[in-house]
Amino acid sequence: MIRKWMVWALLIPIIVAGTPARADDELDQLAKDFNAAMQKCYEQFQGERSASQPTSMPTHPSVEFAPKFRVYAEKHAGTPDAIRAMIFIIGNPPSWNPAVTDFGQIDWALKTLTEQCAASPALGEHLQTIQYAFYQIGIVRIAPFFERVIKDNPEKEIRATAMHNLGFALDQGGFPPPSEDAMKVNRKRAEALYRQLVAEYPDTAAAGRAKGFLFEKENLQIGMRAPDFTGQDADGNDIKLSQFRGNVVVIDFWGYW
Amino acid sequence: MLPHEREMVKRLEGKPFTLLGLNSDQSRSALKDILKKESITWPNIWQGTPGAPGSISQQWNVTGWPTIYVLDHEGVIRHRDLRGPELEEAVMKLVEKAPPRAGSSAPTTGPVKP
Repeated sequence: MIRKWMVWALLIPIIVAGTPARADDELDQLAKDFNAAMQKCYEQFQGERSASQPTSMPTHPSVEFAPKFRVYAEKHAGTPDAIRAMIFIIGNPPSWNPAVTDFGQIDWALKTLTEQCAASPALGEHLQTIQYAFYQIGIVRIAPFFERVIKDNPEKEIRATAMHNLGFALDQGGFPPPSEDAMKVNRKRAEALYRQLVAEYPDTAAAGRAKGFLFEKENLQIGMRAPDFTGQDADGNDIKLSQFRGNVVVIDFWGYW
Repeated sequence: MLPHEREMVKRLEGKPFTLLGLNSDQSRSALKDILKKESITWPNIWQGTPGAPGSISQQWNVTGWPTIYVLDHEGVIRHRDLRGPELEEAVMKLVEKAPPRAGSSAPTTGPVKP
């Protein structure tokens, strides 16, 4: 049966591949070949969906492709395309099962990015991929990279985004799930990071997200009185939350789409 | 969610309960059409598309739809993200604790058009 993490594992390369055409044909071709291999696997999953248990999992395409992306990255070291190649490796762990993954190539890519690319302006478009990847590769692997970017990158938006992404990862947990004690420490650190982000980079999009997190933490927890708000209904008339005081209120954020 | 919400509103008519929708569809007029089409009689705020700057959903850090908050009659948050029968059970328990009001599916103060 299709498990949620399988869908995730298949989606991430598609997300990465969806970005605009590269300047370099060789990397383009590698990406195309990789996506074709993933597509084949996806079709095989679809075919086995009716079976209660897949008879045998094909080898994850990253086993074959991660070394190829690495060779490319090493050949073109110092270029934005090398970064793209390393992001491919990080975004595509070579196993369908998060508990059974060989992180050798990913560790190499993260180490290289951390030590050689943390100051690159080309990182901006990739920070989100690394944030998504964290769910599977865990906070212990991700944190040093974001920390170095926060310290060394000359671009304000990149530093701010890295701060947010690190805070997000610390707050979420990732796989394997940290211990309860570790999560307590992580969550405190996440909150501190968000506050620092809002204080130091207030006009960034990342700070906007951090503000939302902090507002929710401080005002919207169970046991707190909900802060009042005013909006307009479909006819443009004002509605205030407080006008329903005395009633039990269910607030439903919804959309019809 | 909508059919269940309609039934819940009907079941709790006359009791101290309000279902307040915060809608993030394309436009105010799109919402108007939906309200009519789906016979939605409870109050709804239109507050712009998801993530619209300055919107209530952005301020409340709403990142998934639907997102549900349950407030008691004093405005205190008691539950988050309940659905269906669980939601209704929690609401019923809180409604039993609330002092009764006459005709109170409507807002306690101020005009509201269904």
